[in-house]
Amino acid sequence: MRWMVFIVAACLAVALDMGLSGAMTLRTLGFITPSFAGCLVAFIALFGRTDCVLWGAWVLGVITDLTPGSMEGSQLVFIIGPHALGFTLGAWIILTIRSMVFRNRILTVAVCTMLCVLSSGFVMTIIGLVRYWLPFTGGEVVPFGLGELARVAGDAILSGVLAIPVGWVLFQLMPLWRFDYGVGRRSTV
Amino acid sequence: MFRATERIPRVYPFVLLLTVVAALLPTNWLYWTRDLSDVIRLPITPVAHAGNRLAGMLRPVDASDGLNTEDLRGRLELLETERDRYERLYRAQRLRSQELAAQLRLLQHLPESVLRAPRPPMILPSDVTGRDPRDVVSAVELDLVPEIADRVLQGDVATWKHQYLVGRVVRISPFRVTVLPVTHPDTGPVQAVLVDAQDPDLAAPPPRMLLKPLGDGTFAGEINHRYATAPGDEVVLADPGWPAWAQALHVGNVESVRQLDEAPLRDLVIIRPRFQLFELPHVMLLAGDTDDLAAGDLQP
Repeated sequence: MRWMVFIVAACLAVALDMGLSGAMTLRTLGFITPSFAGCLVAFIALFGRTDCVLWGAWVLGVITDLTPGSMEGSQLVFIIGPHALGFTLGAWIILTIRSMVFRNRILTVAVCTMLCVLSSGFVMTIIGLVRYWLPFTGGEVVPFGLGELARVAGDAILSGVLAIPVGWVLFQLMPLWRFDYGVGRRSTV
Repeated sequence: MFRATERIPRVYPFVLLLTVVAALLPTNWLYWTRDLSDVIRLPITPVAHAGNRLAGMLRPVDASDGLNTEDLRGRLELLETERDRYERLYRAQRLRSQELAAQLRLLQHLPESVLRAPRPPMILPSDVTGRDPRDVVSAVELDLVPEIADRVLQGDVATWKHQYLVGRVVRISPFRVTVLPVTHPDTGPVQAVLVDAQDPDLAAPPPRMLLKPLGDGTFAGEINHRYATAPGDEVVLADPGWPAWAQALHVGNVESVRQLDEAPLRDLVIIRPRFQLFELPHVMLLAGDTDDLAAGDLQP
């Protein structure tokens, strides 16, 4: 995997999450918002070398953690970890199942994106809960709970829908990435 | 199938462990993340800015009140007439206040520079460059143009269309301005008054409320039951803790009213701002004109 291409794509994905994804937010359904970064993690996890995928997911997660949504209160500090660990878990799950799926299908990217966003949301919720209950962390503004999990599920579904056009674009740019393909099932799009 | 030991660098588990530790650090130990964020997001911000502008065009904020073009044109003409009338009134009141200040200055033997009528605030438009569309009360970041970097101070006010209060500047870094929504719990309680457009008695003081942000984009406040507050009533800012030019900015409308069981003479009122900061593509910052302060001519 070409790291320069990944860095550019990661910056683009995070920037789109900070800006354009607001146009796709379902405000009446609990502010469900798709994730471009989740699509990118799923894509590299399907095709990249294991070590590249894990580092890439972590780097993308750290960058995402440093965006405005991760701020805590008026102190405006950023919690590093929720996305970094969440995307890593998502990438790990996809690495585990990728030899059993048809990688070159857009639908696969969509389903893997859903898995990735779901797992990262799950990790975020866990960290939110732990930070809320630990006495020394300062606590979150709003405690995480079942409502948060439902919203994460919504985010995952919408991200899966978004992954269809985004996945198509990424497939067109496949030669740029120079993935070192592993052994797995292949199919034409 | 992928195995856990497959080509994973030995350092990776330690990095993950460090990440877990960082995720659980106390908030007071995380100030360094602000600078890290500023630096790492340098290449991201221009693209995010473009994305926000595109999102603003794709999904504009609805400020039309459901009116059609003809209604809007009529309303615009009416507003222009009202604007001219209030501008005349404002100038007359300004002259009057200057005259009264001059008289008071003479009576109290004060220097000429004090008791000057307050200058209107500077209006500085700024685009939103970063936000979290998932979180109603998340802070947003604004484009740091040189004009804003020189003029805006912490505590200045962010508005939508000069009329709606949406947030307050909480941080100005060399790279960006951060604004916290007025509905964020860390903004603290806000004093406001209930405006009754039907009440012709201007002499009677309007009912005051202390609005507490609930963290979900709304405020809660208590008000005397005799005011017969109804959903839709308008609430405006009247808080001495905010700058003078922010007073009377629109805070929100009453969403629901419920009589308190434990205090039947009082109503619990939920206020929802008409516009939330996180959904806006750009805002107007109201900043104090500090030229006089810089020149030192306000000193007696």
